[in-house]
Amino acid sequence: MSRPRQRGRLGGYAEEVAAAMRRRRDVRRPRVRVRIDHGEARVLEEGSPEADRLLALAREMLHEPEETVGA
Amino acid sequence: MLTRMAATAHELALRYLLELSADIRGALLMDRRGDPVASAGLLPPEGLAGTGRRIVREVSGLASHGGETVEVDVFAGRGALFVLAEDAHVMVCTTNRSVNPGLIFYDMHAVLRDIERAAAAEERRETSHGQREAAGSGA
Repeated sequence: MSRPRQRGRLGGYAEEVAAAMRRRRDVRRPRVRVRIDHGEARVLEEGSPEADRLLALAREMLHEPEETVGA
Repeated sequence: MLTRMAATAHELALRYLLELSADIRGALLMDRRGDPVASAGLLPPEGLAGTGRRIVREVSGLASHGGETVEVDVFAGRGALFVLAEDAHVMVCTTNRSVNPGLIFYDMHAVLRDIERAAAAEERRETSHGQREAAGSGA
């Protein structure tokens, strides 16, 4: 097998791994969803004061330390 | 209406909820002011009442009138928090992240309905008992 082809295959694997990690990170991203009077559920905007406060309360209840950016 | 049921009955209801869903780690029941009524399972040992009160305040702020049914699910890094505010109660549950929110809320609604029904029955029983006593002393 020639070196360029080997490099291409390795690059393909790396891209797949990176994509899988991106998907995993997206799935694990914090999310706050609200539903009032059995209406349609709405996801609170990430970083909004309400969402941040509820997320902090959830972490307190779950004994979870706050995640730092890049951790 | 909440106080008409013995505290142990509320605790039993929460324990039943934990049995109903193996995904639920801990459950806390409060009145609409945020005063704790009962708790079961794995919950923070310190500051639970204060955290519960703040949750009630946040959830009440999401509803425009205050009496509506409010469901909130918060998915954090390693777990999820579910809050259901309905009639006189606010129920909070903690779970792991890999749960179906619809199923968790279904179980929470079912248990809250049972609590409400039991409290109403207790109120009726107390009322009829009081009426019987009044009639007995009057005779």
